[in-house]
Amino acid sequence: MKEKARVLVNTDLVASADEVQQAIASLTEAESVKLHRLAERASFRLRRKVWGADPKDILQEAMLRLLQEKRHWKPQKVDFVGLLAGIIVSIESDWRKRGKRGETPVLETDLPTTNSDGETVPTVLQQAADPRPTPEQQLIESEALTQEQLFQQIEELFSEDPLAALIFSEWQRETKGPEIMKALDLTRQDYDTAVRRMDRAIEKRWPEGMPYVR
Amino acid sequence: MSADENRRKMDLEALLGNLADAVERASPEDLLAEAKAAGQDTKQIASDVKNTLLDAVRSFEQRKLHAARAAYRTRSTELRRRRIALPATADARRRLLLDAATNNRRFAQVTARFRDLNELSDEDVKSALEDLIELGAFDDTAEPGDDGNK
Repeated sequence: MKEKARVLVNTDLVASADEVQQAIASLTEAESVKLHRLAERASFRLRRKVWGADPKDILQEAMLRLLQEKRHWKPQKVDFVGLLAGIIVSIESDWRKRGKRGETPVLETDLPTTNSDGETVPTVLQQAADPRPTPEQQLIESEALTQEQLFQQIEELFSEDPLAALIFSEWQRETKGPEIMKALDLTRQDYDTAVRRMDRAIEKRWPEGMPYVR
Repeated sequence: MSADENRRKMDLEALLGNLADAVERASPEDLLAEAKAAGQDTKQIASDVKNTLLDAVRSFEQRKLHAARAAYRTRSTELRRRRIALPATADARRRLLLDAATNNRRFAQVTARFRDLNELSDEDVKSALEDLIELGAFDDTAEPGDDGNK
């Protein structure tokens, strides 16, 4: 296995662009896959709230928040992957709140920029497909389920996975992970592996993104 | 555990949080193994992630550089304007423009678009001189205001 992405020893709170580039270059295959999975899952959960936010947008936004010093890097405490994971969680929460209020988050990549001659360059948003919901997507929104219906459908999804069904059932009673592990005699690894399996099953069932609930 | 009436306490946000936590806690190696087992091209994914992150850094640096350049341009234009004051009277400004057009080839090129400089309004004369200052046409010469602005 390759060496993990280097934790910078610089004691400054804010890393320079060079240090960030170095840390990116040092990412292992496994670490890059983890970042991808985190961004992909956040994108899945956001998809119906914030149309057009794909995993790439989330990764770019995370990097820009770091470089713009909206998030300080404390290398002694948090490794680079841990730092980006925290930023991705924060972006998801932020965008979900905005989505609920009916706002469209403006991505840094959407902001106009200029080339070396001072001419305005089309933004990623302008070059990309229209991010507004298509009629088909609007139909999906209008067919929002109640939470009860959604949870019933999720239960059906796990009908052939007894462990997943049990975990989901306990979650609905607001039983916390550690209590579930204790009751079912599961290790943390067993529990998390089962939850990630549930996560993949949900994504497969609703490829357009997590359904809205009324 | 609890009875059926206790069910459905969880809301969707909590469900999403539970799903997200399991990915966040997972070791990169476990997620790599799962992705491989799911048939994903993990080398390609890793390469795409690195490129996306590096592109974001490059684009951030580029934007910073362009902003700095634009600020420099604005600052130097302002400084030049302040340094080179136009003559105070309309006659002196017209004389300056005519002299410049006659004696300086660079000025002549710029002012060639006007058929007859004598027919220009005072406002056009002033505007032409301001254009020339902005283009740096007076940078290597004596200040235009020397003969009439003091």
